[in-house]
Amino acid sequence: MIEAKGITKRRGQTLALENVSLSVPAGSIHGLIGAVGAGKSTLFEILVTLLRPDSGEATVGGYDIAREWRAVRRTVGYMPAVFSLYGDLTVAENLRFFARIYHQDPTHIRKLVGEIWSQIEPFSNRPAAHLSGGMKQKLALCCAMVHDPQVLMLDEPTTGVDPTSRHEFWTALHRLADQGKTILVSTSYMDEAAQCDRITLLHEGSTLATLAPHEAPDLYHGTLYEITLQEGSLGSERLLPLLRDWSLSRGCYSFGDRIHLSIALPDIRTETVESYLRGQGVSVEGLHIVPVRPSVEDLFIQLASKGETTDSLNPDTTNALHA
Amino acid sequence: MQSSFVTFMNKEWRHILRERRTLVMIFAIPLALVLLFGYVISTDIDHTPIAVLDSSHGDPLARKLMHKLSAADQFHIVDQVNCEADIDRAFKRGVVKMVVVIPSDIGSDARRYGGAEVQLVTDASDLNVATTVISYATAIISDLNAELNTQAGHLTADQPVLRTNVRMMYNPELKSAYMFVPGVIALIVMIVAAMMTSVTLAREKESGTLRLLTVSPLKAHTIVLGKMVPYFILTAVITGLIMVLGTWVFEVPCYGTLWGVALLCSLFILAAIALGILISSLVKTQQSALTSSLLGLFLPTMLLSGFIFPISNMPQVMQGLCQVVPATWFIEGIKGLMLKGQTVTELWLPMTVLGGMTLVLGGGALWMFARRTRPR
Repeated sequence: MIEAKGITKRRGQTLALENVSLSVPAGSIHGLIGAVGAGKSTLFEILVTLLRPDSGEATVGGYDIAREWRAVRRTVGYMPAVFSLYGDLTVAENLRFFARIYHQDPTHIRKLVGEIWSQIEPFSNRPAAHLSGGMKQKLALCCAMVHDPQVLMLDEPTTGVDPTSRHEFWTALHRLADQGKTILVSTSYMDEAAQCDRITLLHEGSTLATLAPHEAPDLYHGTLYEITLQEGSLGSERLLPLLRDWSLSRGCYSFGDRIHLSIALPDIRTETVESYLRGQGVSVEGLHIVPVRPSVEDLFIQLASKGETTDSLNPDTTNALHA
Repeated sequence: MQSSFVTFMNKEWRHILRERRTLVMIFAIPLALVLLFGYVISTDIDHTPIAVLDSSHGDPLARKLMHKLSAADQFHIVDQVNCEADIDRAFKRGVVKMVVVIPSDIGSDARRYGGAEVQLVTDASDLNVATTVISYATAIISDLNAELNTQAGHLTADQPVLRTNVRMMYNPELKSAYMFVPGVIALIVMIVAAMMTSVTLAREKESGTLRLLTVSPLKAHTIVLGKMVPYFILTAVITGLIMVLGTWVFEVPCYGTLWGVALLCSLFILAAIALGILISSLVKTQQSALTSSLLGLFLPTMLLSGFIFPISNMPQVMQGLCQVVPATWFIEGIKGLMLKGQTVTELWLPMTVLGGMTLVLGGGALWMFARRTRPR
């Protein structure tokens, strides 16, 4: 339903997208995973025919984005990354407006999005600007769905949304996919990758990998250790430089009180890590060290840092993904 | 099912009606401007404070003159000045606008051939007021002449106190209300039609709603027309209000036909809206739409249209610039229609120029807008 080949787009001095390809079959959810500035929004704008790619070609719902852009626009429901409805109009008025410009009956929305509409219906008469983040995104989804599009393009629909609403949102997306809709969705939350059938990791305009989320451990090179800091143990600001300087280390980064340490060799034992730390004069008693299955995030960090020195991989890089 | 155009226009009306503050402003600004120009900046005079320096110390003729001046609505004698030096002080206090100097031998001079000389001193730092005050005063004095001559049984004015010959009956240039009503209309049309259209379109751009409209089946001309019509109606209503205010409160005449005035105003409003759409396609934010309309439309309309500064007094280059400002042609046309009672055919030049501008600007606006709805 969505096929893109070699999409390249230059924006000003920077290359926003470089040779990006995608293939999303009907009825599946495809995730675009990447930090802010990775090129996700540009790819959406190209696929909904707001922008023309410099090179490459794509079809959406079987229509060519360059030649049949009018048909593409009729086929897709698009939800931009920033809230793009009329804040001074009420929930009901926004929905009615978008339904009418697509010549649709606004009352059909319940059939199309089901529970999502029931969740915002109590706020029908509230101006859209006064909705919570989660409610805004649900309304935006309703407005994007109002003409029953076959393809949904959702640019960061869960950014700034509370966990409960995020969960409800994903439930709705799964239901839509089950009905045969093709969904391309971007997110900067790594944990949401697991919700997608397949994901594409985007970094600085290039594709790092395209995979099913459960394949992440298979694609990971080496072994991943998780070091949990206990009370009284050495702080991460002391441990990180030590681990980084280790010849076997490919990189390490922290998530609060946990440190992920990537080791170049496939089969090493926990004792090896412990003995290295002891050799550096660190007491390992207060540390909990176990090998873990690499997540999509670990894979992303590994692929994104390829070719760069491990020094450049500081905790800030990983935090930026959550920003 | 409602047409897309009606749907879009209804949405636009909601935006307009919900933004109460802006709505109040666009009605209050013209009101304030008309009253401001009409009363405060007005060069029409009404109970203008004046002073008298009476050197004759109560000559009957002097008293008659003072009585006549204070009986007129235009003047109000608030001060008596005792010597020449006090005249300067009276003006510097800033209350009186004119001092009437009566010679000591006004009674005997009046009986001689040529009459007595009454000196009218005005504060020329406000030239407009000064000239108006002088012409009213001379008119009153020549009235007095006629009265005195009738009383004395003379048929000719061979015993004038001061020779004056000012015609007050039909002189639009002296009545400022005649001047500022077309000017205020031009300004308000620029604010409401051009500035607001450009801001509302820039808002759609800024908030991202324009992307959704772009990927929707809405046609470019539906969006443009859906924006134009509500703002056209709104501007037309406000224009009508200014006209009514001008004719009722300040008695600006309208000698021309109403449909001619309506046609001219419509052309001008359409040109302004087209300018607003053009501006919005060049800017990214509401803020820059606002500044661009202010600098690019509002100021030229005020300064280069003949509203505040007469075009004929400008250097050649500026005069050329004035020709491309739509307001120049609008003001010329509306003055011709309302004040001089010219017909639409007689005003073919401003009408055609304004119509041409409207066509070119409207076409340009639509083209620019349609261009950005295609993939870029």
